[in-house]
Amino acid sequence: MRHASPPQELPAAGGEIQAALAPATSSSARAGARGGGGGGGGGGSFTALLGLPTSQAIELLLPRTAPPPALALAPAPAPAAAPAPAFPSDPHLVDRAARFSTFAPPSPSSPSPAPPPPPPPAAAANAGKRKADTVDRASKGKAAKKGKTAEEKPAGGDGDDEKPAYVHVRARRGQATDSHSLAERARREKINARMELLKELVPGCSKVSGTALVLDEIINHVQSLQRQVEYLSMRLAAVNPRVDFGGLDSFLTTECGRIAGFNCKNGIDLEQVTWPEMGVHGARQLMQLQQQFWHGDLAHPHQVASQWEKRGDGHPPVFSNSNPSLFGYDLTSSGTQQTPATKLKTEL
Amino acid sequence: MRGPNNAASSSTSKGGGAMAAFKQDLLRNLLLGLRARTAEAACPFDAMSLQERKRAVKCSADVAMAAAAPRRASATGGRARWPKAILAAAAAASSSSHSPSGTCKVRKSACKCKRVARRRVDAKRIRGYAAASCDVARRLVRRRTMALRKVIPGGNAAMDDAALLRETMDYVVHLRAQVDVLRRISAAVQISTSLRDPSQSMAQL
Repeated sequence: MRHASPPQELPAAGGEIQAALAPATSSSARAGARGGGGGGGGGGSFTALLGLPTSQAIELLLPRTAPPPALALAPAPAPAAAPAPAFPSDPHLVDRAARFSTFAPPSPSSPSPAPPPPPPPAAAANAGKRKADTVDRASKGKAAKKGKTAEEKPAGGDGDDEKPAYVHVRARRGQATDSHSLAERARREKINARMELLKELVPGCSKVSGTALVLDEIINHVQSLQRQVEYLSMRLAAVNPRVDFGGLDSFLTTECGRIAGFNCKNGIDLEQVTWPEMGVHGARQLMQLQQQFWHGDLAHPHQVASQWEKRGDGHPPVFSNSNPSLFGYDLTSSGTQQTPATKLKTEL
Repeated sequence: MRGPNNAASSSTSKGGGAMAAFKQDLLRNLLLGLRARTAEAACPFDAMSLQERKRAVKCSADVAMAAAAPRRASATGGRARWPKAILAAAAAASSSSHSPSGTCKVRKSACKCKRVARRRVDAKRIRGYAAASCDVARRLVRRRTMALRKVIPGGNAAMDDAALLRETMDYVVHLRAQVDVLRRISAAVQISTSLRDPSQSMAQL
């Protein structure tokens, strides 16, 4: 996996870009006539890129180490990239998005990758979008037919050498080259990058091609997750009247909120600690109720370790896989709404 | 392998550490919220109907998720909007009593219907000149985007598509974690009730 390289090379690229942009802002007066749109002076904006000489622009726009167009799973990467992201795959989402966008905004190092890249491109792109939306349907159509990989840019550059000297952003072959359509394309590529990431996130989307269908899948997935929440909360609500909730609270939070199973090792600790409270005969009773449930391993505590290892290997969500008789659903399968509902009916 | 690898989504293994902390926060918030709700509720837990209880649990779960989420986001620039939307909706619902929450929902869906209807009128007008395939595709995508906005909390705010997709990603991840936590809680509750009753029956034996 290439997860080691991207976080390192992106700051390097960012440093290069910033170095290149420092002299460029001095020459941005030249680009002022063309690149008017966003705040030109604001370091690292789209219009500052326009002021760059041709070769530097190409260098900046091409991804440093051309990443393979096919996205591997977003997440494998390094715990080193861990400075508390907004959501787990955040730094790498932004890395990917930045790499796939038309221009590479000067993104500082990975700890705060998020704020600088989206606002400048968003500002420039929005400015361009507002003007372009009413005008650029045709060019959008043309652009949609071309590919969207950054590697096409050199080919486009060869065909577009006859443009006026101060437009230096590479457009693809046969495309309109005004700043509006470029901003449009940048925005579109940003959206496409995010769609790619969403496709990875939502199971079953990678086979589907086409934005509408992928969006369908995403909507279905979100709705199914929300329905699961509702179902689970109904389940909780159904059980609750018979439970003294304060007592349950203490049961759940005995280990400082570390509910068993969040961490395999901790899960074992919790088992061994809390079950003496409940009584060993209760554990046996439990085993008769649920065979594969993680609590059910308690009758053979010496085997718990091996069970955890065996289970922990292939089953990240331990709970969901361990009790088909009760739950019967799986995070990876989306079509399982019926079974929980029927089970609820039978149990109630 | 062992270790904190039970991430909410099966694809993010490195995010397991972050998600575990989020789940713990969520759990704590949920328990606090439920306990507060039962303590302060006008009607005790037993007296509420199943629907009301379900709604209370779900609402507190959502609020717990929304409250636990920004702990990560504020560290790196907090751009997720859906937590604020959930909290705002919940605050609006709880500040007044239960019935206005129903009307709030109705009002929201009315606005959505209006917007959808307006779009449909435009589409019919435009359909006169050209049904190019790209236009059709674009219309479909736009409809799906609006549908997605309805589903994601806070999606109706003026956000462009890119921000909406980012919100969606964030929301999906947290939603998965919430489902996971709720599943474990309900399993634990089940265990505790099953232990309670059989142990009593066994004591009687």
